[in-house]
Amino acid sequence: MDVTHDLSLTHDLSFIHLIQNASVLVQLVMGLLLLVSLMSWWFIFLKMFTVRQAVKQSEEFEESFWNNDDLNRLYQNTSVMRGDSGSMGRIFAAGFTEFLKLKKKHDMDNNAVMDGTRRAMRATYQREMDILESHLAFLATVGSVSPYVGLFGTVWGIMNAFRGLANVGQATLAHVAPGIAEALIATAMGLFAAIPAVVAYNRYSHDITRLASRFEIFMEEFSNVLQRQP
Amino acid sequence: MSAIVHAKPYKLRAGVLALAVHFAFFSLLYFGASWRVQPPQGMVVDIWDSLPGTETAPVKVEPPKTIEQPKLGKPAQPVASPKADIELSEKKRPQEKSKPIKIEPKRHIEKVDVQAEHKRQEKLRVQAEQKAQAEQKMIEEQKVRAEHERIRADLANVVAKTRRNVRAELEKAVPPKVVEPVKPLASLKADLELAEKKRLREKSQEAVKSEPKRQKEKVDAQSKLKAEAEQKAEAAQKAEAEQKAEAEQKAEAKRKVLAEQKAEAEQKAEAKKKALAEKKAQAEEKERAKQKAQAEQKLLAEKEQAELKAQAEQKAKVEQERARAEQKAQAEQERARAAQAAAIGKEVAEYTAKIKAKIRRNIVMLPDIPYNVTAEFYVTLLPGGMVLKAELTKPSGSAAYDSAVERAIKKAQPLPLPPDVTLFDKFRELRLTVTPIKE
Repeated sequence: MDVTHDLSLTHDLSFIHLIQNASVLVQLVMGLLLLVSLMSWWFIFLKMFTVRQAVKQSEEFEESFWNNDDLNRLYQNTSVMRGDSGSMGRIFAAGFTEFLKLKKKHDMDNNAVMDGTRRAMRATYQREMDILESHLAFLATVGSVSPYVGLFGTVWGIMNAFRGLANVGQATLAHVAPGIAEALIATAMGLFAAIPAVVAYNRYSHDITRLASRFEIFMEEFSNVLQRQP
Repeated sequence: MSAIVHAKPYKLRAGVLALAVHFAFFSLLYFGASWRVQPPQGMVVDIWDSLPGTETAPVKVEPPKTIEQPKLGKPAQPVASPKADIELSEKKRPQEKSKPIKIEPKRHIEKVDVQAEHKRQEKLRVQAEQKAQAEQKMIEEQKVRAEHERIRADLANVVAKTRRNVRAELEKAVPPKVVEPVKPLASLKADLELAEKKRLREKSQEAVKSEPKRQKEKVDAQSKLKAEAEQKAEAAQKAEAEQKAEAEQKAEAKRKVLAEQKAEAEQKAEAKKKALAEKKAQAEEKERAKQKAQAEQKLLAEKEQAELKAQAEQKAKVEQERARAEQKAQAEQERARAAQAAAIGKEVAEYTAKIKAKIRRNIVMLPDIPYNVTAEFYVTLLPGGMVLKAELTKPSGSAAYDSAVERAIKKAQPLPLPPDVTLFDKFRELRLTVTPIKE
């Protein structure tokens, strides 16, 4: 029985035991990485939903815009829908309200009216882009920095392991192995935080640039449509 | 703005998902780590199996029992993991006890337990009996030991008693021995007296024996005296001889000393002579050396003078050569300059002629203009041949010709210039005399 007990003690390298046995600094690093990883995953899911929604809404709006001859009715629909119309709908609404306001002033030049509407649409476009691109910088930072933070924790842990080894006369793998295993958990967590963050950053930045180009094209087309208006 | 408001439901969903992902990851890690903990238990079972197999064979009675208790307790633990159970049972095949477990693991465990309990009790009984036997043995042994000890103690007592008796007997026996030496004191005195008597007898005997010896000694003394006399005579003779030898030696020494003195004197004289001769030789050598040195100095001075002369000559020659070379170089330079100037002059003349020809080609002659007129123009040129300015300095007398030449100058642009750019300075400002016909 004694033999089995000893063996179970030495072989109990379970995850929780390793974290419990780690030094304070390594534990701090692990905690930081856990927090960062949680936040990055939260942003990943948040971005996933928002970007997906933005793409879907802009597709729907474009379809309704090109199928609808009466701009006034579309404008009324979008202004009634308000939130659900999406970024493109909001750009359209901002441009059309500005256009109508300027058209009421009869002394205005046609070019001046177009400039005003374009400015209004561009302002809305910038705001929408800002909202879409929020938190992307955080993902980029996590992706580039958290492996280094994890590595720092690992290096510290391994340093401690070897320092403990110096006190032991006969060095065996059994003396070093638990310390190194503890330390390596920090790297594992850093990578766990970094890899999804990098993938998500690349994916979403690509999606958002595509959306932005789509908005710009829409703005040009819409200003053409407005210029044709009597 | 509204997008942020719109993202709110997503925030919660995203948070929950993020937590779920982390939970999944850590649970995966945890089970991944704990999965590795279980196989070592299998290893433990291996070790367990091997231990009893080796121990049961040699020792039949006591040691296996203590180890078999945990073994019987063990099968209850692995019930949760049947695989391990089977492994266990398979490994226990060599042991007869665990056979039922292999066939029907779960149900027979109780039976096994009962059997095991019976066996345990039996074994315990056997143990107890054995222990009792062992204790009896121990007691018997102890008794035997005690008896042995008693016997030993008795023996020791006996020995001690016997020793004491012996000592007492010895002590009793000693006093008469001490009394005995009193008798010999009287006998010793008698002995001493006897010894003295013996000595006296011996002395007398010796004296009797030594009488012939004395006679012999007297004879010896006489012979000795004779020998002494002879020895004395010999000594006298020897002394005389020695004296004679000493005298001879002294004489010889005197002679030797005289001879040595003479030799020394001679040597000294010779040395003096030699010294004088050496001095003379040295003086002569010095004089010779001085003469030689003087001669050498003279030679050196002559040589130096010669060298100086030679150097001066060389310098003069070099200077002359230099002067000649410089003159030559100057002459060459002058020639080159002249040649250059000639070349430049040639080129300038050539190109001024070309310019004039080009202007002349462009003059549109009117019928009223006579052919013997000359107009002089002051032309300023730009690099590239363009005309910046063309002023009439000497009118020809025919206004038509002057204007025609001016037009021709402007029409002739760009004027031909030499390809060498350095020569442009000569063409920057030109004074051109233009005639309708080539001069």
